[in-house]
Amino acid sequence: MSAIARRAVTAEWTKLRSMPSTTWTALAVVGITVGLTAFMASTSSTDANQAGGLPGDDDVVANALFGVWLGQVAMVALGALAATSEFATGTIRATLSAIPRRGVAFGAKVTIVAGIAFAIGAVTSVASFLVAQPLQHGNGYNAPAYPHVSLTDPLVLRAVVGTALYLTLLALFAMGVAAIVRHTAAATTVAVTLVLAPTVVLGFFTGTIREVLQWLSPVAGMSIQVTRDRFDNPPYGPWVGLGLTAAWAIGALLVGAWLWRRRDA
Amino acid sequence: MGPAYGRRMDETIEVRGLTKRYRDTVAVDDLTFSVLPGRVTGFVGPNGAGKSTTMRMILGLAAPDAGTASVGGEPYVRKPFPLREVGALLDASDTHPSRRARDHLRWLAESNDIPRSRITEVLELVGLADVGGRRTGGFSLGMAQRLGIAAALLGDPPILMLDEPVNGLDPEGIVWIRGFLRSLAAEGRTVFVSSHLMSELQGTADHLVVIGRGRLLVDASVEELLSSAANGAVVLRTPDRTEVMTVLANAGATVVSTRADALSVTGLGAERIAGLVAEHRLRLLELTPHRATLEDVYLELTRDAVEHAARGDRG
Repeated sequence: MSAIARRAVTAEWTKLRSMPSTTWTALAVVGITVGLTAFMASTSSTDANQAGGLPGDDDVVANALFGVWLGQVAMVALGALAATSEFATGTIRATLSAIPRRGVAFGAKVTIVAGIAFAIGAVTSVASFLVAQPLQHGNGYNAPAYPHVSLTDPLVLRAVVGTALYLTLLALFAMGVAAIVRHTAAATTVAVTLVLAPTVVLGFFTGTIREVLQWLSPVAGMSIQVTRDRFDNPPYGPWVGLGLTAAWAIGALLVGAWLWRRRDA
Repeated sequence: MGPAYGRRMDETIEVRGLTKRYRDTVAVDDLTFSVLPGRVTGFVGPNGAGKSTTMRMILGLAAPDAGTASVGGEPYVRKPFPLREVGALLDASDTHPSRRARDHLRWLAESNDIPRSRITEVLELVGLADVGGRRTGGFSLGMAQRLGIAAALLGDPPILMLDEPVNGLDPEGIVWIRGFLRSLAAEGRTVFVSSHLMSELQGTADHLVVIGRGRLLVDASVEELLSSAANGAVVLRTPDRTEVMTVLANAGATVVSTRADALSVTGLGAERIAGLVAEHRLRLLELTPHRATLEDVYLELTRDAVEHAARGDRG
């Protein structure tokens, strides 16, 4: 990393940290995710053991990370605010006066948003998993149908770390959208709509349209949580799904960076 | 801080043929001028004249449609440590309202490897030492303005560019900023200050760049401007009007009677007039050389250029 880039990253880190909204959105990501997971885990029970000890097809790992469906909205807000706070307040003029190489300034922001989002994502998914475990056990998710799993199992590790990566990509996607749209309310609305709309309308379609929607959805990366074959799994594997979310993030960031370099501040 | 900063006091701002168009208006029109070190250069024009747009182009924040702007011999955007070379105040409200003043200065310092001790120094310098821990959203316009000045001074830069720094300051603050700008120029720095009010710069600026509708109207020293505007008239009052008129006319002056006992004289200095009147044992009640103010000059210059469109100018 060049000296200028290092200084820019340090400055962005201070900037993001000194904005109270970062703390609040971070707490919201963790709180909403863990809360929804706990609610889900404490209200879902299984009768698999009673049905002759056959292995059940509930995905206990994915269920232990279920709250991310809602928590990701706060992550989108965090990513969007990292960029719109510049435009909405005029800070962009100070930023580009201090770091006139626009590509460097944008890159530094991407680096810091990615780092913070991954840290929040990791805390969120680990906490969600650990909170869900005893609740699931208490509701009948036990051997032989549901042998207990731990964080260090390869599949669990993939799901938990993958969820942190997924949340990171969503924050970056939102930041890219925000660099394009520049207004907080508009950027958050656009990003949240793009993220959730395909999933919301999915239920109305079957066949090819349904499959196309699944391929186009930014939430494709949620497939990283899949640890069991189920009828309602998406038509692609965990890593392909995460790759689809990454494609959305990269696309938004590329357009955002291009505009960031071109526009007058 | 100190000499380790490698201050270069020979840095100038060079604007060459700078032009900026917005959809249907030309905000800055082929502007060319230089801002030199060691003096305060006022950048004056009515609201909407293109002052802020010009400053934003100098900083590389807005791209010109034509022309160039350079600072210390190179475009601003090439500078590895821009805040140590140019301190700029564009809009005092360009801070995040939820961020504490000290944090605002901190990230700026970090971005240009400016020692953290400098943050306390500049806060003290502008009189904000006690409120550094407060969020800038709660600042009055005057405090925000002082914070903006602190940010501009952070890198101890040889060049300062301030857009309407007097805006929002209380009378005490106005006196302070004027003295401060003078002292910065006296240290050899390049000080470029905009204002839409010429009177704000009287007594502060040494040199003036006056623009109207994006075009350069005047680029001259304050002295030159004032002497070009003063026609040298002297107003006098005397009970011996007719006799005085004769004496002065004979001495080659143009004399106009303005009131029953008042005359306006051009072509002779006040001292010479007083001498002539005394020589002829005539009486004099009052003798006043008429001085032009910068405001007179400015109004004269911008009469045709005044534009009431607030659009396209943030200052």
